[in-house]
Amino acid sequence: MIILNIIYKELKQCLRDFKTNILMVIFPIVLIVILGAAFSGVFENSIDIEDVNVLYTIDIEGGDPVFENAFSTFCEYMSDETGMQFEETADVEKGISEIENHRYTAYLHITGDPPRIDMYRNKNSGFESGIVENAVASFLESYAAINVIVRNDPAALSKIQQPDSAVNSGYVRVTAIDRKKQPGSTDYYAVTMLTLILLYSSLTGFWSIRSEADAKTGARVLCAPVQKYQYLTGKILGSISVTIVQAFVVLLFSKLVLKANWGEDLFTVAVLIVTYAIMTVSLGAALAFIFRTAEVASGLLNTIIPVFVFLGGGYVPLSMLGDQISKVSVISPVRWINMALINIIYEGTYSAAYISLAVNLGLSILFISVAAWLSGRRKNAYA
Amino acid sequence: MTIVKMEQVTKKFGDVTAVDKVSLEIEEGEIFGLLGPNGAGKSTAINMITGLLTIDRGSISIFGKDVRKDKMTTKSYVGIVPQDIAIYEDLTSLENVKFFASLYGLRGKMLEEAALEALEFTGLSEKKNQFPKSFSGGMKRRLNIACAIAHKPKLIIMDEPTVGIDPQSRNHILQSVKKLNELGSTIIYTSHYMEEVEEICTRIAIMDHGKVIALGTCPELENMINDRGVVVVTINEPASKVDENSLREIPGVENVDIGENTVKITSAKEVTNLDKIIQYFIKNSFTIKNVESKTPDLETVFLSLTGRKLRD
Repeated sequence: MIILNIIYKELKQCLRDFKTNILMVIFPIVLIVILGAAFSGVFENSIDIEDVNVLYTIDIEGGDPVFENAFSTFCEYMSDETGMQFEETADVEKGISEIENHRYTAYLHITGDPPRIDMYRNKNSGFESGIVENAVASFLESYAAINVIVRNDPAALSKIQQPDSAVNSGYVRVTAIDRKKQPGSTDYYAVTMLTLILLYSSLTGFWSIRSEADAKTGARVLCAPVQKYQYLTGKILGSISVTIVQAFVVLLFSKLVLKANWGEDLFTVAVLIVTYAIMTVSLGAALAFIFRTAEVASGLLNTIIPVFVFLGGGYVPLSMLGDQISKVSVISPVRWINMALINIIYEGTYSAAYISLAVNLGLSILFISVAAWLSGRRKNAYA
Repeated sequence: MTIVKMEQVTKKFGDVTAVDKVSLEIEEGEIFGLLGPNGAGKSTAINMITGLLTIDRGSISIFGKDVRKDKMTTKSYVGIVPQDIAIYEDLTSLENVKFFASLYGLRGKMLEEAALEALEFTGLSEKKNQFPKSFSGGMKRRLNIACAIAHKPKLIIMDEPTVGIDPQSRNHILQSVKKLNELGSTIIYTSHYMEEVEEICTRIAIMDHGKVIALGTCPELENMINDRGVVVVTINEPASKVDENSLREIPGVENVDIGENTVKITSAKEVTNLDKIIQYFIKNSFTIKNVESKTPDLETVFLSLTGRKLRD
């Protein structure tokens, strides 16, 4: 009950703090609007297919004229219809090295009987290589069907010499290239500005503890029959609750008014945001006990937050920042939450979400343990 | 009945001994004054009673219960009025009192009534829905008290509750202390203002350098120095111009306390030196407005025992 009383008091105080609420709610919304408009070109969802260059090697022992013919027809068709460029090389190592050097969008290594295509993707061209992947998958589907027709009704082959006639004759249904979904600028900044402002919630956690020490109310509370753990739990849970309310106001506004895409799985998105909020508030609470002066702790937070946000792709997507920054970015919890949210919303994949959950909860446990340990050790931590 | 019992209590901060083997017994119904200059160990002693600081050596019991073993129980008996105003500026008066009272287990209607009663007692009923931001220093001090008494504690500790407030609010607080005592609370009261302590305290302990150097009722303490006499000389000029050392050279003079326009001189009773004291002022061209012979008060006792003024 004491913990609930402290949480209730904390909620009342935080919700009355007009300036902070404006900062935590209006600021990210304004940033989403401004950055969404300013960077809309960068996030343009259509790309020029003519820029897509594919290198391939047909490495089938003894050759497979039927496949080679079909693949050649596919290359010509794609080239004519979309402008996608195909180029053959006999050197497999060269093919792989060209991809590593980002000179081609994808490299296709075709081997075996039945033929198998191993595709190497250019990491810097995720979207474009996704198109190639879809096109190749579509081709393989068509080729498998043609192969069956050839074996069972060779007479029908004359009707399907061209891919489009095969489609028109109804023998093969070519799956349309399913363009991989990509966030628009507003969608992207809705995610990253929310995670940015949530990181600033560490200051909410920090001041929640620090302000009570400055106002001497913390010491007064502990003169009552209140255990330190009850006080600390109430303070942290109160700050987390407020932070979550603020986060969901931003989320709902961006979804309903700015029409940002938050995907279908709102539950998992919400779980990730909640664990991230717990982590940021706990960080602030721990710093309130580690540093004796508010200036040092808030200065440190104000320094590391922009760095973590930058490394997390908060200002510009990581794909634009190069490999080195991409490698360093693993230290930023912002990278994991951003990646997790984007992957859930646009790919429906959850591997990054598990990492983000582990990072958020692991760091939360660490920070809360530090705060609890120091609050127990310091006689005057609240005074 | 003994409410608070301190036995050989010691507290150190590094090499500094803040409280040094202090033993005290405070009886039920007392208004117990704790006097001492800054750094004497009063607040440390109070923080150990309230459980905010741990005890290095010795023991403290409240209502017979050890503050270390039964921390939560002993805390529930106490209401603390901290020296620094410890209230939430962004909660209304009523919300402040209700929050602190709720920490002592009060709920629902009982909590509401207790909070309103505490505000009524401190004369803040009309301000119950206002935020302390707009309050004067005196009103904040009263709210500071209201937050400590809503749960009707058996023991109230008031740490300099009248610092920096107007005479009207001070008077209100002193009357409140007396009334709380009449209603059955035992009170530990610390103050820099001797006249307050003299007016309301039934027994007084004087602390200096972490030790209790004198303990007794006000007349008992004053009797400790009944072999001394006090002369207060009021002059037209600022008293800071008076040379303290010259006055101390006069035979019999033990202490000189310089105020704004007054000089308070404590001398051994058996020595007659009033003529020499007056001569000093005349000789040095001071205009004497008044000369008053007084019996030693608590201030004089303090000065004699510690060699310094309470506010030093």
